[in-house]
Amino acid sequence: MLCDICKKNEATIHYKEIVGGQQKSLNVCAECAQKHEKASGMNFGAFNLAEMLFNLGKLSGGPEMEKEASLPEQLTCPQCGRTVKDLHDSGGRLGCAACYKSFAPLLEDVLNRVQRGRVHVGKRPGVKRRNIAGNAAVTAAKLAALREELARLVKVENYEKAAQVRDAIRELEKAAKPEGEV
Amino acid sequence: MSISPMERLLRNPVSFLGESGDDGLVAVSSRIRLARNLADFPFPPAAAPEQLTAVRDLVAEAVQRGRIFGAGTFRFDVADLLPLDQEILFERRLVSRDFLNNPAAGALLARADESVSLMVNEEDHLRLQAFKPGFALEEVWQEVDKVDSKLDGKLCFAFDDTLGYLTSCPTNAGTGMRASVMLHLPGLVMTGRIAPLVQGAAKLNLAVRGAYGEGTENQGDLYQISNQATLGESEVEIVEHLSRVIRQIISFELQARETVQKKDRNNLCDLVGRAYGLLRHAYTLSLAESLQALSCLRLGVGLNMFQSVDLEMVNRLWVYTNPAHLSKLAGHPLSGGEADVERARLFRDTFAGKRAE
Repeated sequence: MLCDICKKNEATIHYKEIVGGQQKSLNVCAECAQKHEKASGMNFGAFNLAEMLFNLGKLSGGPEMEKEASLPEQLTCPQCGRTVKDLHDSGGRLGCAACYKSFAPLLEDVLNRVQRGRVHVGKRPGVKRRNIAGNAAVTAAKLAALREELARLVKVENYEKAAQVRDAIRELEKAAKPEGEV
Repeated sequence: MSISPMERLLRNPVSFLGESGDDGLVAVSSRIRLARNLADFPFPPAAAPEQLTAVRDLVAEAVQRGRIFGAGTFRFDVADLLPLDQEILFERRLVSRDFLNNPAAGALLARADESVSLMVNEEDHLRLQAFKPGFALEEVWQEVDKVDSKLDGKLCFAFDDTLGYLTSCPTNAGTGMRASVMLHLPGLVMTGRIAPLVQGAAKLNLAVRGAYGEGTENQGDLYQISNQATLGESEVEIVEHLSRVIRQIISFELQARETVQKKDRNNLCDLVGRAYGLLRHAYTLSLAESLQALSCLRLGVGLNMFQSVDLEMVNRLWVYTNPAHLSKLAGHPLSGGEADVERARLFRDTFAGKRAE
C-alpha cells in the first residue's frame, strides 16, 4: 500500500479512526509521518495500549485531523460520559458496564484479536445478577450473535463449544420470557 | 498485648512459598485472580473519588458481614500505609504496582493466612486472588470460585449474557480470570531453551512474565506462565489448558537438569557451591546477586547437595532479601548501600545458624 501523502513510498504506519460510525484511515510512510508530526504536533510513533487495542491514534492537534477530532455523539457513553479520547488516555480502559454497548464498534476488533471466542461460556452470577441490557431488542441482538457463533462453531466442527453456546442460547431464551425478567 | 496488623502479617510464612509436593522444586506457586465490578458504579478509571469510597465501603461491609475471609481478616487502606508497609504488601504479592500508584479509596482485604485476598479499587472494583504453593491450579480454582460465589451473594456484579463479567479492560472480559503458575527454570535457562519456550507459549496464547507480574523482568530464573484469553473458554477449560502446558514445561525442565547433570556434574555442583559460598561469606550483596545465587541454591536442594540448607530456608530468604522485608528486619528503612550490607549479614547469619527460626 502506498503512502497517502507522498504516493511514492510504501506506507508503514496505518492510522484509523471511527467517525460518525464510519471508519476513516490514513496510511503513511515513516518519512511523511515524521514531517507531519513536526508540522502538526501529531504523534504517530507514540504507542500505548489504547492504540494497540483500539487502533486509536492521537485525537487532536493535526490540522487535517482537526475536523475529525470532534467526536461523534454515539461514541460517548451516555451512562458514564466516557469518550474515545478518555479511552485513549487511559490505555484502553472502559468507564462502566454500558461502555461495552457504547463502544461496541471499537470493541469488535479488540475481542476478535485478543480473545478465543466471542461468547462467555464460563461461570455466571447467581440470583443477584443484573443484566445490564435487559430489554427485548438487545436480547434479540444477542441471540442473533449467539446463533451466528453457534453456526460458526458447527462449521468448524467444534461440537463441545457449540453445545455450550447452544445452552447459552437456551438460557437467554428462557430469561427473555416475561416471567423470567430480572 | 495486641500487635498491629502489619506485625501480624510479617509473622506469617509467605502464602505462596511453602511445602509444595513433588513438583515443588520446579513449580513454586499457583495463583488465580478474578476481576469483578459492581453493576451500579462506574469502573475505577472513570469513577469519582466519592464513588470509589462508596465501592470500598460496600465491598468491605460485604466481606465483613458475609464472613468471607473468616476470623483475623486483614484490612489495609493504601492511603493510610507508610511507603515501607506498601512495599511489604507488594513483595508478598498481595497487591500490584498499579494499585499502590492509585491510592484513592484503595483497600486490601485478606484472609489471616494471606492465601486469599482482595484488592478493592485497582483497575476493577474487585480483584480477588488465591494462592497455593506448588502446582495446584485446580485447588486454587476451587478456592477462589467458592469465595467469589460467597461475594456474589452479597454484591451485584456487572455481567452480560454474551460477554460475561465486564471489566475495565476488555482483555479481561468474560471469566475475568488470570491463572498463573510461577516456575523455577534454571535448567532451561542453562540449556538456552527459554526463548523457544516463550515463543511456544505465545503461540498457545499464553503469557510468560517475570515473578512480580506485568512489566517485571525475570530474576532468579523465575517465570510466570499465564492465560491471555478470558472470553470463549470456561474457567475449568482455562485451568485444564494451562495445566497441560505447565506439566509439559515441568518435564522439560527436569529433563534439562538431567542433561546438564549428566554432561558435567562437576560444573553444575561448582555453580551451586560457589553460589552458597557467595551467600555464606559476602559482606555486601545486591538484590539481583542474591536472587541469582538463591536460584542456584534451590537447584542444589533439588539435587540433594545440601544437608544444612533446605527449601524452607531458601523460600524464607527469597522473601527477606527484598528491600522492604530487609528494612523490617533491620527495624528502619535502608538506603541501597545499607541494604546490601544488611542483606549480606542476613545470609551469613542464616547459614551460621544464628537466624534459624
